[in-house]
Amino acid sequence: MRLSVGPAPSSWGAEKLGGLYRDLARSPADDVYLGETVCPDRSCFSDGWAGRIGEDLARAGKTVYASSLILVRDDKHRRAFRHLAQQVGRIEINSAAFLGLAREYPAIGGAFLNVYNSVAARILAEAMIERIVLPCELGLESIISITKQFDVATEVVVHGHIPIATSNMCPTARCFGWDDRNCREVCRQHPDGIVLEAGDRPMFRIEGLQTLSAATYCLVEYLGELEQAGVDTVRILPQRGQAARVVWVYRDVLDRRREPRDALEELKALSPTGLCNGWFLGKAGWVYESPN
Amino acid sequence: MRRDRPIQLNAPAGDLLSLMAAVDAGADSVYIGFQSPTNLRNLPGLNFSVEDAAEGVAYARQRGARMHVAVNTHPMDHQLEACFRAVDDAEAIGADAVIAADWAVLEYARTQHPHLEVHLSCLAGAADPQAIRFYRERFGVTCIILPRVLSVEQIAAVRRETDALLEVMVFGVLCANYDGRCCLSSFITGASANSIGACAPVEFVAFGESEGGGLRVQLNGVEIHRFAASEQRTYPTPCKGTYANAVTGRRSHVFQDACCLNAMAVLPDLSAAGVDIVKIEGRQRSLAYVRQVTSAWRKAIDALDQRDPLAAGGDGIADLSSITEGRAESLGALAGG
Repeated sequence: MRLSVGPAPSSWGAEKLGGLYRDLARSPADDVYLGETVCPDRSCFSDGWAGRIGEDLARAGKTVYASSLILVRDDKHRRAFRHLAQQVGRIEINSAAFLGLAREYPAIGGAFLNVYNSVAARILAEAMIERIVLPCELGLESIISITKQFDVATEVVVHGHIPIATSNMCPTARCFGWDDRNCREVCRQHPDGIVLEAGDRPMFRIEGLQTLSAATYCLVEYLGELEQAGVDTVRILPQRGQAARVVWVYRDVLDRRREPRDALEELKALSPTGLCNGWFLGKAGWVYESPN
Repeated sequence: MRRDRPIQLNAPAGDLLSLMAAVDAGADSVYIGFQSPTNLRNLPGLNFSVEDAAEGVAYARQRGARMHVAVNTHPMDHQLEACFRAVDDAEAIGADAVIAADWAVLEYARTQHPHLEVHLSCLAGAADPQAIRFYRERFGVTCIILPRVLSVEQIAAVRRETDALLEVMVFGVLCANYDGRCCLSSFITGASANSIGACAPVEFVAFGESEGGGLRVQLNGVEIHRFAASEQRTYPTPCKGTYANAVTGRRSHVFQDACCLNAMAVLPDLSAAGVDIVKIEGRQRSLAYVRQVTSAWRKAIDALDQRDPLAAGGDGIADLSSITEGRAESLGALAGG
């Protein structure tokens, strides 16, 4: 299976993002996605910078994709993504607004296109999409059903803080008494997001406009099932300071150089807010269960 | 763009009596769902059997109103058949349109029932002219129910670039999150709101006493809110919960305050922006609520068509303030920035 690394948010800042992509160039990742997918107001992927990162990664043998916004409301944001696509040469489409670009660039269908079934997968493939990222909410049963019923390359998120919702009113700004019309880009001060506790249980993590899982989603114990299901690519969502390390862990397990149980211990140590994988097992998203 | 007919009013109906009340109160169309996990208000005791829906169509038609059927979940493979049957049933009873979001359902309606109008549910999240063009060309949708993320100004910009009918939610539940991309409830309960059509399903909700006479609310064993004794109680969806954030330690309504969308104050602006249909949310609401809200909006639209300066400030708003959720109102994204 191929191993990909999903886009990191601009709240990391240009310096940290540059460091991430330098680390990934030396990692065993096959595909790297870059671009701001959540909040157009904070994007730092401009002025040829993304193009230069893309070139560096391509020289290191990586296939690089520019990821689009999830929600597009303004013509200038459409133009900005067209510009990014031109620089990077391959795209991940997260909004139906950009499906037309699949005729111009090799394109991945992002998880936010909401492909919940094999018929939708077929329709998306007909729009010249070469691979489909399935929503994190889909469990193994649905993944198997889609891959069995329609022959299309699929990509499944296996690690990281998974997306749960994208807001219209910025929850991060609200936490500090600002609103999204005057957010003061407070998300830049909290690049790992802010953990929200429900009762006394860490549940969500807000990062700008998006809500992620507080815990780290982790399928390192289920890579065999995904391989058997015919999944083409597994995706790691980057976390600061550890993305390349996590890529190595997964590569070692995929190549049978390391036992999943052993890998799990290392990943647990990297995840202070714990692990979750419930959605994959058809359960509440926040729970974690090991096989058997 | 100039409409060739007045702005239309689309009202919710959770059962036959509510449908009749909505039509009698002046709705131009009503929208319903069947009793199955095929629509986004799949709640116990709510919605229509096929027989009741057929009666509803007849009632509406005799009074010059239309009926739309929501089949707007995102079905997983094992749920596809139920959604396809719901589209078949909608056609068989003579409904005027189906409302769908999922590509499988949209394609089924277009290919199997080419004479049935297909409206794009707000859950598809089509907020942009290019996305709308895709849905128009690929699935032949004639009406776009815009997701609740656009300002009036942005709606006007969309209007300039599409000839589709544009429908806008103007009253009822205000979702904080981008339509069709909110899995908060699913993350807590494991029941996918997108696929089974119920946010915070009632079987997961539990109440317990809290200190000071308040009420603790749990969803699947996870505490999402504590109502103070004096607090107006609303249905406990996770977006209206209170969470402690780890930076300030403060517990607050992080996603949204409990409030109700009420766009009556901007009805003239929506009309000027070229909106074709305004939609009231609330198939889960009581007959009295449906009657009262529909009637207030009917008056406001009629006053608008007669260029009555009281259009946006008449009795309707006073009528409605007593029933808005949490007793607070908001224009939501329509207000713009």
